[in-house]
Amino acid sequence: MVFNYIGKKVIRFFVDWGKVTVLSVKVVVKIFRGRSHTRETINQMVTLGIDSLGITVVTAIFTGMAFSVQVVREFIKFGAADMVGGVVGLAIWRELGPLLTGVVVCGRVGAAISAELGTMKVKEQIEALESMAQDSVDFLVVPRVLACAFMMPLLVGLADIVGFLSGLLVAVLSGNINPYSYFDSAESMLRAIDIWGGLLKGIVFGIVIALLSSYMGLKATGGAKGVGEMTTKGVVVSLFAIFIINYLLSIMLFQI
Amino acid sequence: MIKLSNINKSFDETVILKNLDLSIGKGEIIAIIGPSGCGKSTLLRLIMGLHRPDSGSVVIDGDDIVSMRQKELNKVRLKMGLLFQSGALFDSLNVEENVGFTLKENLKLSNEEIKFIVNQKLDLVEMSGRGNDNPSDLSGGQQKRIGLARAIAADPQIILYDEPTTGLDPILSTNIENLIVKLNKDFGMTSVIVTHQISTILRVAEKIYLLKDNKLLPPETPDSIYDSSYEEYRQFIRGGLKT
Repeated sequence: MVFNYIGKKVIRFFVDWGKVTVLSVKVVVKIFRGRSHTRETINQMVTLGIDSLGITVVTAIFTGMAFSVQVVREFIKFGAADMVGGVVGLAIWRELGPLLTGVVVCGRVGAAISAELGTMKVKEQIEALESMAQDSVDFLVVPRVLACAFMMPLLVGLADIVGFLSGLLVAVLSGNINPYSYFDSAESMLRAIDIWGGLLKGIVFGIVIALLSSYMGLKATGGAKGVGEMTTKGVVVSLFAIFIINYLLSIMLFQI
Repeated sequence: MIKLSNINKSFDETVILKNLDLSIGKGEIIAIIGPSGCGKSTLLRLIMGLHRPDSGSVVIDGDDIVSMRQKELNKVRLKMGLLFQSGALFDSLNVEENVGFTLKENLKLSNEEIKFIVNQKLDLVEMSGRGNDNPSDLSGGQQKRIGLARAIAADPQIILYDEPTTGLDPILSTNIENLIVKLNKDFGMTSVIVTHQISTILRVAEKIYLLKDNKLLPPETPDSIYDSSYEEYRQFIRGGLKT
């Protein structure tokens, strides 16, 4: 009984990942050989990206401040106050900026993609699209993947800058740290790869979130309940994926 | 025009269609009736190529679409229009953009040409002046009429109707039935109608097929259906067949 249940789950897992792989290949092919995606991609960039600016900035401000509070207090104890800027910068540019932006986009954009495509699926709109000789992946998934791939590094870059500056604010106000020393230590500790690596993570996260959320949306069946289930699944699976990918990318990019 | 041969279709373990054959000539109007969930809408989707049969062939205008690649299938789909049961309008587009969708995306017509045709089709379904409305502003019956305008926008050779008059008031229902006949007479559109509406079956169809136990019974006409040698037809038309 238990083995049967586990076996079915394992098979379903591999079937799903197989289908996600097929969807990914189809998206790549359609990007180069499909219809023009410019207008729809721009629309999606506005809808999915610009609307996420506020929550991304707020998340970055409070993350940068909270992290800086901890670092300042501990580093002052050890007489390493002049390293605060570098440590905050490294943490934000390499990990916190991309990862927290990924989490925010998962919740906001990923859920929106799953819910929209799921609703279209259960309301027969996907079939209507295909009956009018349009490819649903080309028409719906590709613009969302491109929009997330373009917008995510911009959001990550913004989160990095805002998080780093809000860390500075806390360092100056609560730790009485010299702003010049904050920037100086960041300049000496941060390498170009730390900044570009974080932005690259953003691109990868954007693609993964859009693909997985689209896949879950297109799998929805059975009305509002089915859409709700797939939206939740889309967010959960995307979160798992970006945490795992974040770890792997951190090893590949920053352990050289 | 449409020929389905030896079609078998199952979803998971449930057999929907078994060894089904159907042949529809050019310009014919046929109605498919039967109990709810018996596979009538699946049959329309097989003709449109939205589902592939487990076995058998679906020939549209001489081309077997079952083994076709997506690109070729899309070319065949341009010859057809499908009115969905719910209308299936795109929420993100207004009425005008919905009706003009295939004109813009497939036929690449100019904005003026699209506007002209859209107004013409909206007029046909008695929805003139509603081009700027959003689908969410419309009632179910209005959405269905816009869905019909969208399905006929590019003057397809074949039009598939999934419950075209269900949920409409009697006057509107009659108008849509008249429109189906008009499209057939004026443009020679081959029509396949899936419906439960007795009035639609009797007023519009030239041949009536009953889908039961995964197969189609031999067809009847509106004149012969009341005295059909098959009890299922008689029961259906008198409301006795469980639907």
